[in-house]
Amino acid sequence: MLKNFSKLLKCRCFQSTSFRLQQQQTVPEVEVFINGRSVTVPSYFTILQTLRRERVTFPSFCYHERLSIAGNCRMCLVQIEGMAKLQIACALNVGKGMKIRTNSEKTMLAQESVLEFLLINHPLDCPICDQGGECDLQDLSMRFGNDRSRFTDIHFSGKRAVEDKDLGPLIRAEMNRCIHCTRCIRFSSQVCGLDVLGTAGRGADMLVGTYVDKMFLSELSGNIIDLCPVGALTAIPYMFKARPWEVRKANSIDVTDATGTNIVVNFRFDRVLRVLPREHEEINQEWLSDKGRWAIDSLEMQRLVTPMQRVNTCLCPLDWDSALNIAAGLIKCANPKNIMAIAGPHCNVETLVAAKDFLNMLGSEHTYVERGMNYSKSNTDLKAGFSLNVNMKDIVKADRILLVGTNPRFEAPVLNAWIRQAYRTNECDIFVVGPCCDYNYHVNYLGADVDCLSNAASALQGAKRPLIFVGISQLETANGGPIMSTLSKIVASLKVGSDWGVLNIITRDASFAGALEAGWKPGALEAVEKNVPSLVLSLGADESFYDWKPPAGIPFIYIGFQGDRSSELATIVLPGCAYTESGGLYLNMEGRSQYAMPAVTPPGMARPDWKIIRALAEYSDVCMPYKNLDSLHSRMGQISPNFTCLGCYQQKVFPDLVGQLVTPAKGTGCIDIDMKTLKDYYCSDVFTYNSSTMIKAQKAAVELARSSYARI
Amino acid sequence: MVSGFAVTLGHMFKEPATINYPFEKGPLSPRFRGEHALRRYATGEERCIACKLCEAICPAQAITIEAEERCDGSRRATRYDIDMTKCIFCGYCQEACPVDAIVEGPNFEYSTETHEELLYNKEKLLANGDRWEPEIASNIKDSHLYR
Amino acid sequence: MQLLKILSTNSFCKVRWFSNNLPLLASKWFPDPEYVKQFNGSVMYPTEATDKYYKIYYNSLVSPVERKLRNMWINFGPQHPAAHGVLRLILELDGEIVVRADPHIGFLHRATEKLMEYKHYNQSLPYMDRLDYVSTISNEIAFSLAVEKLLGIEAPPRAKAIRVLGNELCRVANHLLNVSGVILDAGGITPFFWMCEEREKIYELFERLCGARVHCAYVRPGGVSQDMPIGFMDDVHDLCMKLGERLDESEDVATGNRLFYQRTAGIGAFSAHEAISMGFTGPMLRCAGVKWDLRVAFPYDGYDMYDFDVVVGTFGDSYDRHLLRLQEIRESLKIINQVINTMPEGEYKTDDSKVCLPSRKEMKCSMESLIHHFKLCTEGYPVPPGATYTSIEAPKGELGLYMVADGTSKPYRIYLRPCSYTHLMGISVFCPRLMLADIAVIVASIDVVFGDVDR
Repeated sequence: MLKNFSKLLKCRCFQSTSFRLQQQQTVPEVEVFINGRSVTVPSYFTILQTLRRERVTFPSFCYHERLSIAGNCRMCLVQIEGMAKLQIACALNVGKGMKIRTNSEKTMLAQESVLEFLLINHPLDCPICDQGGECDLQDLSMRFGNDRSRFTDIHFSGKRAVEDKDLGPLIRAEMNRCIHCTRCIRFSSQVCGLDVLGTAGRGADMLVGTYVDKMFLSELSGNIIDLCPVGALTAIPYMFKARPWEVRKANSIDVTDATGTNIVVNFRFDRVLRVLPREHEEINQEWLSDKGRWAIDSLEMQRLVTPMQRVNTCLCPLDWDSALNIAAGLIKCANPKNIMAIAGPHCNVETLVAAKDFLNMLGSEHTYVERGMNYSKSNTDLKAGFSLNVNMKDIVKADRILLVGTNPRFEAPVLNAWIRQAYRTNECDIFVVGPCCDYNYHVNYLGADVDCLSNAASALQGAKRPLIFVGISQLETANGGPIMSTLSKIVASLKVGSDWGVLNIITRDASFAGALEAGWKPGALEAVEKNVPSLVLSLGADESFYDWKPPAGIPFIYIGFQGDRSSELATIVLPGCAYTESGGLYLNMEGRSQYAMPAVTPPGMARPDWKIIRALAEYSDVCMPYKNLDSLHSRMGQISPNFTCLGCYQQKVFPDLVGQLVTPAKGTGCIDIDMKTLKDYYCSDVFTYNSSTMIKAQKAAVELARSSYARI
Repeated sequence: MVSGFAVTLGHMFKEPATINYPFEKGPLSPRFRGEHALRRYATGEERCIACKLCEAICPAQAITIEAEERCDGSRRATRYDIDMTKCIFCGYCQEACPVDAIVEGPNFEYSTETHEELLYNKEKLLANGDRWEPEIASNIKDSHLYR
Repeated sequence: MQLLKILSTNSFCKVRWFSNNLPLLASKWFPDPEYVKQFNGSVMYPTEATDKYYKIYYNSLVSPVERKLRNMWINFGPQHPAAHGVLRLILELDGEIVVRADPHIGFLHRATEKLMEYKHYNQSLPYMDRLDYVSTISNEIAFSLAVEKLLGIEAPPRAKAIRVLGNELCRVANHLLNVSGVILDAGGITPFFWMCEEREKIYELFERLCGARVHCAYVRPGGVSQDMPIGFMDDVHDLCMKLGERLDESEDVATGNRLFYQRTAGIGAFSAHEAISMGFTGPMLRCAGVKWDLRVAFPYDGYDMYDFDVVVGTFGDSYDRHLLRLQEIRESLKIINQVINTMPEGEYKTDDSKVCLPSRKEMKCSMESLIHHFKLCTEGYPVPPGATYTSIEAPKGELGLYMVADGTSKPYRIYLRPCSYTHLMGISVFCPRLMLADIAVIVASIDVVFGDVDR
């Protein structure tokens, strides 16, 4: 009792001190004048930050708020009263009483001149350049530049011409268009952790490129295309496909990993053309993994466009009515207690809720996700036991990180960017229990064996904000229990605030958190082995059927958008929708629910998955209490308020119970990770296997690993 | 009244103002904006680079372009459709074209019996260009002072 | 009845006093002497002769049939050749006399104003051609002036002179069509052909100017799209020299013709007061004797540099309008001659690539020009926030544009004030009490074009 009380008191103390600290840390504000208007900004602001905050239109090329300041484009030259020369706004801190003149003649003339210099050596590529229409150089020339050039030597000595670089099968580098802003260089070294790009020469002979003949391949490489203010770096898969003014946009959520990266799906004529990241300060900043960006061509491969029925060895196309009739007949004939549904990695919550309701109404409780997890007695009751227990943006505050059997660089690239940021800015030490992998920060290997976890306790000791990340694939193995029990003992021994979730699980499927929240159970493979199902309903689940085939005579209904192993085995195939077509609710690994808007219409006769289930229920004489998206959403709200409260991160409750409920066991053997190096990253599941871009990238990664420059 | 009759009588002896249309045609200036055509370079290479400026500026949204990389790496249109029934012949497309590929040529006799025939595709436009190239080239030459 | 009379004759306060103090016995009615008086004269009583009449005995089963008599309604248009487009006129006739004329419009509605909200400023310009498709360049000038006013720029002098030239040629073409159209509807077909020939020559000139006979898309914000071709002004001069003679011929045939005079004089007349209150502009206003011309009142495009008279009518009837338009053509020819004589040298569009496309030569070798070309073609130019009402003296009257810009490259709202619309609405005011045959002459002489009315 007394102990608890003192604990509480300590807690209070901690909070109050931290509060006081915060108060003390409030930085002094200074007053500056923008064109005579007085504004007050924190003293650490640069002039450009001030101007951006005050929404003064001001040009710049090289400045990017998530990268370091380079100050080499000179576009943000600004006049400051009292200073003889113009200053670059991005690199100059505000001072007390500074008088900034953004619209003076001197400033404008400088901006015009800088643009004129840039355009002297810029090729006349606008009509064939993919960046045309979303090009910073164009926009700024229109707004700040002169409308005619004094450069007339185009026919004689001409413009600067340099060789193009080969940056791999994803990024096209047209180096003539480069304006040397070095954003790509800074991004690759600071965010990607790859010192591949750099500059050579200076002045007019400056070149941006790779020093040696090496490709630029990284799990976040696509972002340098977004960063490039001109058309020097463009996406090869999107090459020449569309112009920015003709694409339509839908805000969506990436489903290739479980981070819940916010994306914008660009489409035209009902075809998804490209995916761009959408800014989210707490999840993905403005980055997007390469898989999420370029695996979209998989959406047009191996698609199921019509209902099909197995006749002998082949699948014959059907119309919806007869397909649903046959499927309903199979359901009616099966023993309702043993009907089993297996959810794939891309299911949205709507589908999961509808399918579970359907099965429950039939009398079955067998709804499983593919991934197994049985380390704990609590199973899925504790959300803290299967999700990220820290807000993703807080990872950057961590001072010591332990990775257990996971390589977040490939399992959750966007999360890894946060870890790398913690490593860079917070001097975070990173320890690894697991095999040697490609990390893009320095790590201390503590060993690959489960027993090595005991070393971790000393490594984390004394940390103020330690974080432990466990790969979800470790919890599938028999080692899951021992790992978790050891780790929770370590966590209990650490002295950290109660609001700081130390033990985190990195999940990998976009549907995982949503399914467990909706009441699905993990471990489909174990379940089918334990009790033989009378009918299997697969919701895009594919991976399981490489290891297990439903015995002959068990009807198998497949609802999904891509035909692979499980559609080959299916008795009836009902074509569903991909995430770009149906949209839907997704829970990311933090348990944050986000809604993806549908972009294009499904191909052929494919329909949204939950509607198929709803129709199937109708044909099976089961009445479901919803018939449109609105009523389905209110049903989802009944199941969990988290499904209707979108966007916010919620603190998990009872995180310390996770450790107490672990099934105690003795662990043996080594911890293994399936995505160790870059070449494992691109084609990691069925969805990405079907993408030709990803296969090209994988080949390039293999080639890169073999090349003599691989280690440089 | 009398002068009125005199005028009418006078007109009877004048040359008729009408022309014998299919055999005689009215004068056309080099600026005439008629049927569209896609031009080629002298080498036979098509000019269009699928920059889509004409598609963007078309007030009637009559142009649809899809582009792709050709095997030699150049940017080319895989689809270049003009819906001639939507077109309002404002001439903006030829003003926008940076390579003088799409032009509104001197042909004004292209009426068809069905709507579908007026949905021009790239082949039709290129064929137009081949057919009218001498006239188009001379027209462009004639109006070079004003461009 | 008495009460009614008091109501109608006495003042209001007395009625109040009445109704407040007397119980109104509406259920009982007492015939007063004045009521009885009407039966004092000869009254028909049944006689032997009337007994032979066919009689109906009305009872609870048979009740008298109430016959409703209604004047004849006819539908004039929208396919009628004299409707000058898709005008549907509901005419209520009393014999041959029009009791009510009700114009129905909207058969050519294309939502131009809404469409323009989704187009860049330059993209909207060809839509202006489709408003009053008889005088296209005038419409373009109105639009360009409005955009220029919002942008705060002015076209160079040569561009202005070219615009005046185009505007006046348009006026000539428009009036030629209208004058001959009135004569045609009054029964004379010959001048129509003569004037079509002249109009054809003007269209040929337009075609040389910009490449299209009717829908020019020639005038742009900041100037005009191309310079005039060499020798253009010579040919305009030639045409103008001869046009006066052509007009004399038509006047000989029609103006002095008694038939034509009787079909038009006094038909569709209205007073100056009526014209102003109905919002008439242009020839419709001037024919009633109001001297109002925007070229003089609010000179634009350098109209104040040219010497011309504003023609004014007297009676405001169709004949006056006919004479006025003929005279206006002659005034336009005067302006054209002055423009040709004083055509300034220099730029034909603003030398600012932020608004006008750079020349093709520059676009092909200068990066700045290429970028501006690209951006102007795809996004257009941003117009600073503001609102303007800009109007010009189009051949048919005042063509106004109310344009609201919100700082983007597309207008927030455009309202088009068409001239034909108000003139057409006048039909319902001055057509009643005229003969049916006069309607055709009136519809012709108010000069409506349905592209303009329906927008």
